[in-house]
Amino acid sequence: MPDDVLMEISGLKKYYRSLNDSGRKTMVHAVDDVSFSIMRGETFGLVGESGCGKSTLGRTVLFLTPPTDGRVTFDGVELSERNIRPLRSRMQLIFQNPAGSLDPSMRIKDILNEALTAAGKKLKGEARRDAVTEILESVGLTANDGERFPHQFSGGQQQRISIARALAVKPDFLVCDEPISSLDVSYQSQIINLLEDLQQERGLTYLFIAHDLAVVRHISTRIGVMYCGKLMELGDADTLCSNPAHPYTKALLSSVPIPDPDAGAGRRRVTLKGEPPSLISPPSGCRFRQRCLYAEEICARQEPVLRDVGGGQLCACHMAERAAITA
Amino acid sequence: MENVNPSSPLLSVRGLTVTYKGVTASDTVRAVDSIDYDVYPGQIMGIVGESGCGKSTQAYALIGLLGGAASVNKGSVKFDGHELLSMSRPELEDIRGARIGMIFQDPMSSLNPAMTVGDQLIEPLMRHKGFTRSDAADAAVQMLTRVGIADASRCMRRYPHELSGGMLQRAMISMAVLCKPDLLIADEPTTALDVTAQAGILELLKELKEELGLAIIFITHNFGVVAEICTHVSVMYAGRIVEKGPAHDIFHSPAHQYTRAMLHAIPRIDSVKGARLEPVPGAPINPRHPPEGCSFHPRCPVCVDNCSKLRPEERVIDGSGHSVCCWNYNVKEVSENA
Repeated sequence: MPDDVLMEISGLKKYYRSLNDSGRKTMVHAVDDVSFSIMRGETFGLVGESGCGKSTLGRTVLFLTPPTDGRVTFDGVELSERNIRPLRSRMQLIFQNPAGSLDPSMRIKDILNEALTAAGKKLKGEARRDAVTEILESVGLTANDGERFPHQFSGGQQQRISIARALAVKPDFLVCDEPISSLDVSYQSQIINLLEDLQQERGLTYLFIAHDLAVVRHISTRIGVMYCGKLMELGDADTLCSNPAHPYTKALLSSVPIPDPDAGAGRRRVTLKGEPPSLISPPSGCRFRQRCLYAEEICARQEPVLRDVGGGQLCACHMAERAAITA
Repeated sequence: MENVNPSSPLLSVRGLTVTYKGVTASDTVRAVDSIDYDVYPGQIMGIVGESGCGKSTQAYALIGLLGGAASVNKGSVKFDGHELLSMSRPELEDIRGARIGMIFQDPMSSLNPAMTVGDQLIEPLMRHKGFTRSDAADAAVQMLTRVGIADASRCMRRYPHELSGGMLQRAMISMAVLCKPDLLIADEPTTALDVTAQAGILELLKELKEELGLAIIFITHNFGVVAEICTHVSVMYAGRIVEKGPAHDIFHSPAHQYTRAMLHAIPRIDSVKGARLEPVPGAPINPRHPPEGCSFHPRCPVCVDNCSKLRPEERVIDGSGHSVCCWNYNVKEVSENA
């Protein structure tokens, strides 16, 4: 494994037990055989629509829920339930809804103190207060804010607090699960800038999970597109967004609204028919084939694997070349 | 469309003011503060702003759906010549659902979970149009098919929880337009949906507007969606409309600093990454203690003396109907950057 890979995910599967329509025991294939690597210092953007398994993937790589199958290697160490605890402080998670992820009955300083204690930091008195102040200041808050309770802050400030809590233990790797989608536009850009600054200062690596493609393009080095538990396409952020190879990525990108009434004229919109397939009984072959404009017989018979379609851009589609010509 | 004269506004809102009463007098929040706008037949008027700016409250006020502590203090809402604010409840009930349709953000919680989709579709037709049950059912199936639901008769027998968000929103749209209203109020109709489903719904609303000659009030916080669908835009900040005009003018020559800031603050899918985002400076106001004068002045980069003292009046910019509430809207150096 090359030195600059921080996390390597291979053949990752996460199935949940569930019941089907007729009450029989069955499996939900939330993440199904996904492999990719995250480089040290990069922001890996993971996009996809609700229910595609992107949040499950974020939790599974942190072993918050153990994978059904597959391997996750972090900084050269293969993760397992036995060795995960000491590594926790190197990997943290930021949630979508900051209000729901901060204990409403705790003062901010106590929330941060708890994180320090959990990470085994044995600080006393003055040193501890200084540590808390330093964390608060690093996310643009003040020492006084530590005395207050979560409900006394706006959504944007609450998200700063959850970022502060994640950073308190000095992690290398942060999973950001929809960190700005519950925030107003005024705050969204502040949080994006804060995450970018912190990455610069501390050399952090992000797995940035979001459904908003414009935001993901802005913040990410590389982007992976998930559909129905599978990774469909992976590539450099700008290349993938300006020159998507997978028919699903094309449809997704063409659906993103642009804040300019004249932009519509030059765009070709690919409208998807129908609904994403069931994760309980996914279709044979390619999971996108029932909604795909280019699907042929082979797509039902054989599952496409990620392959290089030029310049390191990976795409799991039998028809990628044909889709590129006709688009 | 019955008796609607296209050269006069279908809906005319003047000085509409809504307050939420608090426990004490100082807790009272003026959520909507003297707003004016007109909607003409065939227009899609976007009302855009951040959470708490009053965009949904003003829509509920139009059609008498405010509840609890909220009340209309003053203003006038004329719909096709009739004053809605002074109507009795039965009079309003005859208009709501029949001539004014409404779709809400979350279809799951705005449909009755204990009734089939079909029964909920049939009800307004029987109530407003005097259809028999079977005629109403036929019309409902037709409309569900029209809005893109593949197996409409099967969908009629389903309960809301059995359908996906995108399907439910289509069902709710068909419910809102079944009685062929003149005006459709859509409150964040695509916010709960994925982008691909959102694109389909926006397309559908544009088609229905053409087919049925609807006027639409489209409430959203997303400037991208506004650009996609709206012909006209009103930008709201802290209970007031700070800028309004044709969509093209709002996006290409925004006059208010808030509109400009909002357009710069969000990344665009069609722009190459690299540039740092420019957040709107400061934080949204506390609605209990709105600032004196222009409510945006504490965050405004071109604030002048007047701004903190006097509320800016609406100033017309050009003949297309573009207007702005700003004391200092034609500042040279800022307009060059915009």
